[in-house]
Amino acid sequence: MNPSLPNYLKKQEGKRLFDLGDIACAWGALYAKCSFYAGYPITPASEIAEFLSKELPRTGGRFIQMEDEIASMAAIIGAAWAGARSMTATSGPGFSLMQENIGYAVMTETPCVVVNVQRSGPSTGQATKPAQGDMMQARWGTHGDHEMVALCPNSAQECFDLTVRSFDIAHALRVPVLLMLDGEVGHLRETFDLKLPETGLNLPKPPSPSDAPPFGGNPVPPQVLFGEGRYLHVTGSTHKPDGTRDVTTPEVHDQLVRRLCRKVDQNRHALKDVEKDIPRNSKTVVLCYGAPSRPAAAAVEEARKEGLKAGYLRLRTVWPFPGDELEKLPRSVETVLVPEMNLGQMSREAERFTDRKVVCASKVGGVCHTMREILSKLREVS
Amino acid sequence: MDHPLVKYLRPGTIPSTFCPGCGCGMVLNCLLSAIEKKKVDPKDIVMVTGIGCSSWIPSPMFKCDTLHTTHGRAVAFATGVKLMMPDKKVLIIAGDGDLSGIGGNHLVHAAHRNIDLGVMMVNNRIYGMTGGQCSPTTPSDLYTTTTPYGNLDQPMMAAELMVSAGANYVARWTTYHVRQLTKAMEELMQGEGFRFLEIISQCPTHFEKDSKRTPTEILDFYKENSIPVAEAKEAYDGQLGSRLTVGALAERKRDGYMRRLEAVERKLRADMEGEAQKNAAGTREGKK
Amino acid sequence: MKVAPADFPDFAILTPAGTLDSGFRSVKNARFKRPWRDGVSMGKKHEVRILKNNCKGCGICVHYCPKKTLEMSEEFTPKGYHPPEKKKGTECSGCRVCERMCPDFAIFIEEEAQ
Repeated sequence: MNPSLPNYLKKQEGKRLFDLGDIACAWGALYAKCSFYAGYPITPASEIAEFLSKELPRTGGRFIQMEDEIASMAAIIGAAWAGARSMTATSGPGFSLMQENIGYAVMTETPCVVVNVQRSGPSTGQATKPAQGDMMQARWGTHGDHEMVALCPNSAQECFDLTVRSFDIAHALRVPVLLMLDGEVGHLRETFDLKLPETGLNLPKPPSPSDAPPFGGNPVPPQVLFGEGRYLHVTGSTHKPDGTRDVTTPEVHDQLVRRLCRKVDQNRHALKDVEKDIPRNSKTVVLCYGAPSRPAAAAVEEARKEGLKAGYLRLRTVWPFPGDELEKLPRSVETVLVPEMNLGQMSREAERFTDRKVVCASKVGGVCHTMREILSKLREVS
Repeated sequence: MDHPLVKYLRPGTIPSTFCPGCGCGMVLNCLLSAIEKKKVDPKDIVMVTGIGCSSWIPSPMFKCDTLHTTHGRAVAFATGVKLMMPDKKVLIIAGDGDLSGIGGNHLVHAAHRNIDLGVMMVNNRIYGMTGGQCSPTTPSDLYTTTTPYGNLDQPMMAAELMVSAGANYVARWTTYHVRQLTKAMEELMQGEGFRFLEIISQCPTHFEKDSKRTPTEILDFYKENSIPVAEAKEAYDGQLGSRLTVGALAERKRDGYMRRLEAVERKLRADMEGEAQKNAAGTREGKK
Repeated sequence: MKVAPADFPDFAILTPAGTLDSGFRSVKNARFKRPWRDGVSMGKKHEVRILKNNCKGCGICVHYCPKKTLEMSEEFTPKGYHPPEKKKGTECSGCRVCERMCPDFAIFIEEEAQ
């Protein structure tokens, strides 16, 4: 519906704005040529919907508020098969509702972007306060064997950049991409530039259109859409490469599910994006992501001034988890400190990849870590 | 000479997996007859279905773009498809449990929104695919595998619910009335706004566990007990009567969602044009 | 009879009694009295074609044929069902009720030009 950026967006490229992380994310969607948004209001993600409800029609896209998150996820998948670049945004309770249809997007290889601006849970929780409690749910929320791609920004500029990148990944690999903000990053106000990120990931090119089967054969099959005369059969049931259902032949299921997992797994190096500052003789490494990574960076700087040998490893791509970064930590590292706004989710994943001590600096209660808290914990474990 | 409708079928999908005498096959026959009669090009159709025996009616038999989705959510998926493909006929076929049970919320909102979709709810009044559990439309006191002491609920009147929710076209027919059903499907395919067709259909395998009727006995029952709308209103003093009231229950001329959306978009584009021209004129002025 | 709640004028149901049953006033006997509506041509010869591999022996065609030209046969289809067969000495009128009601695309009428 909008193959190229409209003029008024082109003219604004490079402009510097001061606004919420949520709004930066929405601008990123516009610059990523998002053409369809279906959503349901939920704090702290409603701002994304409100912004796009106003701006998306101006770019020729379409916006609709659906009756719940399940319908929102369904609508963006339907729109994707009609050719849209689609997105939705929600928070914890809505994210839980969307899981079945996220699995449908995985199984049917539908490109779409799902933003989760995490908030305190479980259940209604603290509703309006930030947390990072959905990280494992992002990986395993939907049922069945699957891989997931999840990105995690820590600033308004990154909200913009990683939203653009999410669309690129979604269409290159034909997967749903989860953008895991937290309420802190979503609701802070910062300057950000409307500039398309230059250093993208070294992703495979999106599959070019061809007569090859739309659901198999190639590692990433060509994207065929409705209305191209191919009489497409899209189904969440196990299917053969041409799309028709086959639930009785074991090999068909085996091949399909393995290929879907391989799609992400074999690109884990292309998808990896970490910010690393680990000097050779580091004793402690702070592994962080999202909002706590900013006080963590300050804490590492302070700690080094005090003579502590601290390293810093920030994840921008959280899933697939860059376990190889942990495997190749210098010999000198004894502890990995993980400040998270949950009771230990990514720290558990880190434990799988390293034999060093992993300490989780949990903070739940809806307030982000402070520099001093992380610093004192760093001193404690060093 | 081949069966006149075989050209619409994907090769190798007939004979279907439906039970002998299942109403689903009859619905498919009516659908393809309607498409043949109105000379609709399958390239202009997108079928969206859910989960359940009825959702297998077009999928994979009918050769067209098909989106076979999760249980109960077909209407929501179809909304996304329609919004981005306004020129296609987006049609939904699913069962009573799918659409009025788990998907009841989406159904009501789609009718309320009057989104331009055609929904055919094949109502066999049971959950057939999973082995015969009760559904929202199961008759009272019926034995089903999850109501072994008789169904405690009254059956949900899905078509009447759609009338209240504001759908533009609501009709109910049974699989006995193949010709009227075909005609209703023809109307369903080309109207504006939300069109809903409830099709009372037989499930000879699971619904008949107690009564053990044959398919023809069930169809005769529909023939004997269905009442056209006009007669029902007379007989029941203006009310629509029993669940076997057949005919068009409502026809409205509410603006469809797409019409309203496109009007808003036109106005927005005009306003943007005006703004752009004003800015250009302003710049010219400034440059002077 | 117009039902129009004051606040929702466009929700009014435009169903004057008796005009909305798709043109069929009375359902019970309408079908077989107006064969010309469906373009059935009179005066041609009609052959019943039965696709035995598709048939599941449900018996709907046999039961509803108005001329009673069909009966269930003794033979078996590859899946083990009894398909219908045309009774000897009967004439198919070409009404196509069997073709329209069959759930399995297993029976259709071929018109032969005279």
